Amino acid sequence: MVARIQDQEGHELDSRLLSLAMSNRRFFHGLLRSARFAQKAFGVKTSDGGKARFVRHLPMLLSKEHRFREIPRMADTPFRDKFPKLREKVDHPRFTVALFGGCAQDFMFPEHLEAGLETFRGRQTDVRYPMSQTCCGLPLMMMGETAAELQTAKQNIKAFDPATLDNIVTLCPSCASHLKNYPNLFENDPEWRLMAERFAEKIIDYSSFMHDKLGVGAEDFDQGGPRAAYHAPCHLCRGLGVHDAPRELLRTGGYDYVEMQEEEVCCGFGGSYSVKFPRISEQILKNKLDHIREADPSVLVTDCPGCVMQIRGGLAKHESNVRVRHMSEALAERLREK
Amino acid sequence: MQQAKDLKTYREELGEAIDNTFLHNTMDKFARAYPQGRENAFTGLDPQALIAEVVESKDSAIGRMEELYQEFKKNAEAAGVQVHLARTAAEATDIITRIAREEGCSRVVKSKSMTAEEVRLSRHLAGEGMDITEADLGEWIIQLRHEGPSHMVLPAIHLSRDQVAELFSEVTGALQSNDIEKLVKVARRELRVKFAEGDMGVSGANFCLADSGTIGFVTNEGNARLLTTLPRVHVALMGLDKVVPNLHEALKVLRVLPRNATGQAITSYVTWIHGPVECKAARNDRKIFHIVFLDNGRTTLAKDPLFSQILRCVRCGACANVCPVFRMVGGHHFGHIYVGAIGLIFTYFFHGRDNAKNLVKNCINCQACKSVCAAGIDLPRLRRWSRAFRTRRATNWTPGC
Repeated sequence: MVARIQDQEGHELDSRLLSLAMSNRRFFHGLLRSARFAQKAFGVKTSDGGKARFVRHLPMLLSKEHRFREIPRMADTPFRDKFPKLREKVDHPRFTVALFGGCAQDFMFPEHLEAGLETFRGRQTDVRYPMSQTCCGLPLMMMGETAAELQTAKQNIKAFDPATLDNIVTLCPSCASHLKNYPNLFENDPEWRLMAERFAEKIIDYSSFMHDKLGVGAEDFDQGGPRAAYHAPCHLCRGLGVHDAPRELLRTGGYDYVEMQEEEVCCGFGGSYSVKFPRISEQILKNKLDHIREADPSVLVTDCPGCVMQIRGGLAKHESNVRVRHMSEALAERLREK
Repeated sequence: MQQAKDLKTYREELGEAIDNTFLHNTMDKFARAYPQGRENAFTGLDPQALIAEVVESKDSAIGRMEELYQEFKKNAEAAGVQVHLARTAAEATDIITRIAREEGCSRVVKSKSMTAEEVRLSRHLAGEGMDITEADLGEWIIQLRHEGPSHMVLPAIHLSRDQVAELFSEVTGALQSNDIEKLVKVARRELRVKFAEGDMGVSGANFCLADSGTIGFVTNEGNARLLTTLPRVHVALMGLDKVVPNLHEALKVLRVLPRNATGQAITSYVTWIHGPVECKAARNDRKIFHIVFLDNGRTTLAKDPLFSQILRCVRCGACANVCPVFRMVGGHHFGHIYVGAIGLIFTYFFHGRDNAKNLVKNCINCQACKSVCAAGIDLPRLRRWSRAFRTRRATNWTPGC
């Protein structure tokens, strides 16, 4: 519908620029890399013992309405540059997997992926990170930029060889649910559709991989951990139908999991939505923050970098002490020393 | 009714809605109560299995819409009903105006019908000098406020009881308390006269059974039953998508519709009407009964491999009930006439690109609508786009009003 209107009335500038930038991976990743230099001008502030790093002064580009949350800084080194050194050599792998990083975790929250690797370590899991992978294309689809969306999909399908992999693991459920949707993009193109299906059937989210495939148990983690609440990302609970794995992982991981209200209701992020409609995003987030306050955890765990950005940004704005962690970080923090 | 010219104006309107604390509290209360209500209503049942049956049943009916319509028409006419087919919204209002003229009707009592909203029937009849009364409590409230519905099932959900008490005080010229029971009594008293005096009743329909020419509708207030019984003329208006082969298929929808809409196992009334009944107010003691089907692009939609699924919609409104955006801004800012996730899509097809262009951007893509849709419609996907439409443009579209 959006795409149809765009085609009929002319594409909007922001949407056209995004499409242009994302059509070429090298150019797009170059832009993301240079953003970390550009942001230097805006300063940095940290909370949570330096774990959460935000842009100090919001660019004038963003109006008052965008000040309901802190905006995270780009990472100094993207995950793709760190990966070769972090990779564990596995002689007889039980699982051979590839990571699909996604823009947010590759360039903004590489610590999510690093923590993920830590939790795989010693579990006979051979991990790869194909460097030609690019954005999953979800933002392009949301804006109705269908031509560019197809191009990124093809690029990603080519980047991974499903025949050599047990799974393609992604720590971002928005990416995962969109990647799983690839076959639908090629309804009238049997050749690409087959490749898309082979690609899509290997996609799995982090919590399901840890819980269903690696099957981690309480013996793997220090028990007696802090009180933790959980926020279920839309694209995990509805997009992929995963409800139990993350909650069970929290308990397995030694957390005192406390249920909060409306766990499966959106946090208000929605990618570009929160930029387009900041006041609605703020209101939806406000409900989430109220529920967190009521549940009173010391850590809020979720499975999505977008939700981390939104909820952490909102909590920081209110100077809350609640820490926000991706599931991979939450589990890595409680790994039992072997 | 959302009709901002550009995104900036739309955002400003949204801002006003967000600042409206009455609206916020009312919507929030409802949004929190709904999921539990729905879950309770489905206790002991498998909602996904029931929804799958609706999908199969509706898809099959949509695939042979024309044939089922002809079958319905034959059987209804055999029972003494006059059946009309309106190609466009304007044709529908013209047909109904003509019926009213020919039968000498000037006082119209109307029950809630989204199809009537789609063609702006009430506005049209009022413009023709007729005295039209909305007989559904919620619809009556918004008629008195000169507003459109903010929800497909709960048209006045955006209002608090205090606002209604204030409105009723104004209308009756006497101070009314905000006690809901008492407010309902006021409406009852005021509306009874209209039922008795009305010479034409206008209803919608949830089901049209092809094998017998019977129509069926679900209500909670009984107003539709009253206004299809008392006045001497009955006109029923519905979309072509409401024709199903038989009662068995209709009941598949009925098992899901009230549970999904309001968390009820079944509505207070389920009414079936087969042919004109005895009516002492009519000449020859027999009611004049017209059924008007609206196409308005449905035949074209039915042939589309992807978008035909929107014709499965049973108008339960669940997609709005669970939408976090709807919850913050209310239906007047989240639809043109049709509201909720399905409203964003219907607006494009029935009320035009200009009215849809801002709305379709206001989706956060949380997929909550898709997870509860009574008809298994992939709403987020349809809102965004489809490959099918991209490669094969739908043309010969007949826009609504």
